[in-house]
Amino acid sequence: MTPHVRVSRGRRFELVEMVEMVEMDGGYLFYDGTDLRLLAGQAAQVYARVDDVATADGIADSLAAEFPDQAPQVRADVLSFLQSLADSGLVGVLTPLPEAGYARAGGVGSVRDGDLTLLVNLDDGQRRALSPSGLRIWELACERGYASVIVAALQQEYPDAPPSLAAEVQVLLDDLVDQGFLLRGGHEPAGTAPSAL
Amino acid sequence: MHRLIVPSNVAAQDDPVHDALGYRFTVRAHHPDVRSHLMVLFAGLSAVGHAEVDPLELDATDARLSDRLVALMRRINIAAVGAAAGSLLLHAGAVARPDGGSAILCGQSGSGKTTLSVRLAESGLYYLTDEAVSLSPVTLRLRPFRKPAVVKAGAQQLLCHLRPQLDAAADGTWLVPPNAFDTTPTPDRPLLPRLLVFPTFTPGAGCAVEPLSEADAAYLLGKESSRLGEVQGGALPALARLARRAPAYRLVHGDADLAVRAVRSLLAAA
Repeated sequence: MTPHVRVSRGRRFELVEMVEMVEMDGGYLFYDGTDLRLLAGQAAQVYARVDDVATADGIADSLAAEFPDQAPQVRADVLSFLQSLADSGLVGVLTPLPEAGYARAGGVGSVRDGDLTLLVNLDDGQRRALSPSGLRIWELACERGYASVIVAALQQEYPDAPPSLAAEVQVLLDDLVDQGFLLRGGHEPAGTAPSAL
Repeated sequence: MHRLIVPSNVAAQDDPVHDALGYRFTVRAHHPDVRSHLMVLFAGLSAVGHAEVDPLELDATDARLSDRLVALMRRINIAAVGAAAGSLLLHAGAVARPDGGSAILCGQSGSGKTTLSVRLAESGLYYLTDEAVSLSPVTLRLRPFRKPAVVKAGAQQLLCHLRPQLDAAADGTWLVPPNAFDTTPTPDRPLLPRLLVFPTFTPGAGCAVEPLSEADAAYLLGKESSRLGEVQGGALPALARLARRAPAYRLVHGDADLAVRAVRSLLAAA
């Protein structure tokens, strides 16, 4: 977790209706009855991504992906700016969504084939090849992990992981659920999920 | 007597009535030369009718006449802003083409608003005001406020040909009546904004024009607004409406002639 962000990584933000806002070519203008404020340029891009659903990390990751050479700095700047938006009352902070846990589906086996691992659903014959990183995600998910816990573990194991890690993990988990290799189960509030390791 | 007094709400029949953004007033002076001077100063603020008139009186005192007139003008400005509450009020000068298309010159004190407004009027545009622009927040129609131009010491070298007969006020200010620099006929069409200019005077600079986004323009307009919280229909819709209606430019200049040429060119194209 980025130290200077008080909120959890899963924290979501909502637009605040008490502040009058108009979207214009070039940015957003706010008026609270006393102060007039303008968000333009990259600040406007951050604000535009606040939608009650996207998390702080998700917003930071999506913008950092647009500047791969400066991704860590962009990510840190975005998280800091989101905090300042919350501090100034232009966005509200929502409690994190409940997070679904994952479990291995019944009847699923695996076979190692060189660098790849082949998942096989013995019930319907569905197969899925996993790379070494995909295998690690699978292993963490099977230990009844939660997406946030999986991502945290991977970031510890791979400090150079790309900014888009959380999004890529979620894509793979969703695919494995859709293909029947994983089950998405009971919910725990984000931030309280047990460690999978 | 050594005061500027405001007696009961009755105007004498022969006192001309003036209108400053809806604030209607007369000014009485006992000395005929002062009365003549007042008539010239406020000729651009003529009004019809006598309803709800505030009779002001300019008594002879030990203070310089120019100082008393500056104090009077300050009082009228404050009352005018109060009368125009509900409108979109900008700290700006403005001039208009014959078809009513208007340029609004918006900026802080010292940005060159008065100099530009006066020089543009001298070049053939219709003088609307040099300090306070009032617009309907819905239709965006401008209301003229053809007050005397307040020429501060820093602008007097450029406008030396407009030096009034009266000595400058203690703060160096000249009050210059509109008919001294504007002989353009009144536009016969509604006055509507067609150009927004945010001037900055920088000695030694040439003239640089930079287009602004609508959001930047709305923000800068808002920062130079009075009584934003009282705008009918809300401040942001009015500011957004104005910023979307007229193209906006930042104008950094150190040469009034170049600046006038730039504004005229932008207004002609708007």
